[in-house]
Amino acid sequence: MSSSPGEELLGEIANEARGLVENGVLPVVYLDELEDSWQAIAADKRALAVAAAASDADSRAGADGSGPLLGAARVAVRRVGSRAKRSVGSRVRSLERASARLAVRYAEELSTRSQVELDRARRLGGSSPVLLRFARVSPVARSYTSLRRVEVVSMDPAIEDLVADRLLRHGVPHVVHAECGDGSLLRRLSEHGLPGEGADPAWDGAADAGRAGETGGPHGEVGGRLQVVRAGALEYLGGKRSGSLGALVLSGITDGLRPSSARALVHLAAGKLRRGGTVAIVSRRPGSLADMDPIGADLSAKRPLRPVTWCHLLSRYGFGDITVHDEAGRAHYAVFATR
Amino acid sequence: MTVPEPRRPPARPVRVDQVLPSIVERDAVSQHTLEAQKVLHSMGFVSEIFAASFGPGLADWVRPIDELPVEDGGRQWLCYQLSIGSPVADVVLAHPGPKIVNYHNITPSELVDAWMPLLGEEVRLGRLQLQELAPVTELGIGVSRFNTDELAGAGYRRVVVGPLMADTSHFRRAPDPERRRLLDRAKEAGGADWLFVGQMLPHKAYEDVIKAFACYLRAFDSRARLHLVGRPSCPSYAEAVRRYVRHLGLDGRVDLAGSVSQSELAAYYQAADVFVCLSSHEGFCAPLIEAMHLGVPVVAYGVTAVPETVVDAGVVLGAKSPELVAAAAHRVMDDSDLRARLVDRGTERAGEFTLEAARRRFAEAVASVLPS
Repeated sequence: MSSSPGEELLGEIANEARGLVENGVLPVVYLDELEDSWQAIAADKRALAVAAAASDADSRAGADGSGPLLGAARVAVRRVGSRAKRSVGSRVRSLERASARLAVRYAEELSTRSQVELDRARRLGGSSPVLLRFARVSPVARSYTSLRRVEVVSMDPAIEDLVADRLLRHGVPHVVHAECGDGSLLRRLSEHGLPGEGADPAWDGAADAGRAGETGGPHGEVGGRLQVVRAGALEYLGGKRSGSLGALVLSGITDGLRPSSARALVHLAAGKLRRGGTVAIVSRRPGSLADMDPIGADLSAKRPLRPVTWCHLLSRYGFGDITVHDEAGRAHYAVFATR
Repeated sequence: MTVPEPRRPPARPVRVDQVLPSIVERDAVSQHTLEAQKVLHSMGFVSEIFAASFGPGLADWVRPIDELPVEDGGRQWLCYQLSIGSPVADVVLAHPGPKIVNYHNITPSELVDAWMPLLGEEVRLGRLQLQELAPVTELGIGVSRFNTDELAGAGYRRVVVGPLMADTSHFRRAPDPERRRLLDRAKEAGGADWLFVGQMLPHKAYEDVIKAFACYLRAFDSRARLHLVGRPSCPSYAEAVRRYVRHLGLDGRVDLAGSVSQSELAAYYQAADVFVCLSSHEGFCAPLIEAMHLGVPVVAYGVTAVPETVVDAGVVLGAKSPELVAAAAHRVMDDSDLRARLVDRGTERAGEFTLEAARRRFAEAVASVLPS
């Protein structure tokens, strides 16, 4: 026996235990029954596993990387549920499950909306001289402004070919591109007779149209066919009607995401695309960031995801036919899926 | 004759990233990892956490293991939180950066094989990976002497004890009022409250606590209650425990609370009269420290790291026969002098594991091995 907190004490405890058995308070037959009954229950592990699986399937709620708000909502729902079970009984279970689903869906909706509003706030913050000045001394404001892309990153030409080819081949009626950078993909599609529109937080209609030798309209209209507005992807998609899009290309924003923004983005894509619509997600390959200076690259702001993460999110929000085009040596990869 | 170029001293790393197989809420290793990140940030390193899976509430703090960057030339170190076998260890092994292994111990396979064959495979793999990592690791940090002994035995050249970083201070502040009300109401009817906190896994030996509690009910206090708090991580074992409680007719006496919030856990600790731990294997056992911190006397089965964690601040038994544990629990609650002594000594002992002290020791351990 160990020496803590004294051999004498442990000896006294052992004596008392022996006395309980010898005096018949805890007879050997009782102790044997305690042990034997456990062994009997534990022996049939197959039956236990089946029973446990049935019970687990009954109570399991989906859990995935959906952010703290949803996590908290699920915990709250579970807590309410367990209290309800104790006080009212099993009759409320189906109602409870329906409420749980509804609450999770509502929390998801709320989370996505907050991401849309945050995106709008970031765009406004990024262009506000007051906030930019404030940003020099305030970490909070700096986090807003630092999240804006400071340069328009052109899509890898091979990936742009791939996306254009896929959209042209599928003959979609209209393409929406968020965030479209300098609009080169839209311009190219439009040259092949496929009209489109787009948004980009760094869009400067006149300058970009000027670079392309076209005339920029008040909202980035180029050549009368291409429409681009100045907005982030989340903000832009948040303003679209449900089920109104035939094809959606997501890029730019995909290079600098937090996981909860990625969820919101796919959630919005699922809601805004019509059934059968195509989504193309184009992102920098995370490997290409490994060569960059870890502080200079500010990984907390620029965070491209691996294709597998997009696949998980797309399938979670009901997309099918998910394909990944990821080649070593390319700056970008693309993930396609059908609503 | 050519003069060899003087060897450049290794550069101080820019980032020290942490890697672990899985990170979830309300888990000691996960909490430790989050605290370690704060320490690494305070030391001026870029430090992110990479895991193969993570709980929904941690999505904004953790990145998928696939996204682990590779910075060559010693600019990036890895700190691997090792408590189970996982393909993640292969990612760490293949990474060119220098490595620190923070070891939380691995449950022996014979304790889990019968219930969870897959877990059995994982822990066997974990033991193998513990050895594979030894030659490429600069420093092994064990959360107890028991763990550093295992590290040394596995071939780690340099080992140091760095206690588990767990914040226990919040337990004093905010017990869940609803849970506290329910526990207080039950207490009004008389009877002692036994408590054990730990995942519902075979090596935590829930059944042994229940056997001892059944003996205690029969011998000393028929109105007592047993609260078993912890995530049911092995469904078939949890089912067996539920059936055992039912079979013994203890439904109204044994509370299988499952996973609870921190504030609910605080309420459980505050209501407890004794903390009984009969685990067959513990690499450290943070709940023992939590119980001591909150003035709950401890009765524990003295195997693996448990005697080192408790020292003389609890009753550490050399066996866990139910009548012995029942007698020990009774003695701790019935003998007011002994109880007072254990509470005082427990508070002192827990004071040695403050978050600040543990952070400092972790920082010292990391600093001791990094190029300045």
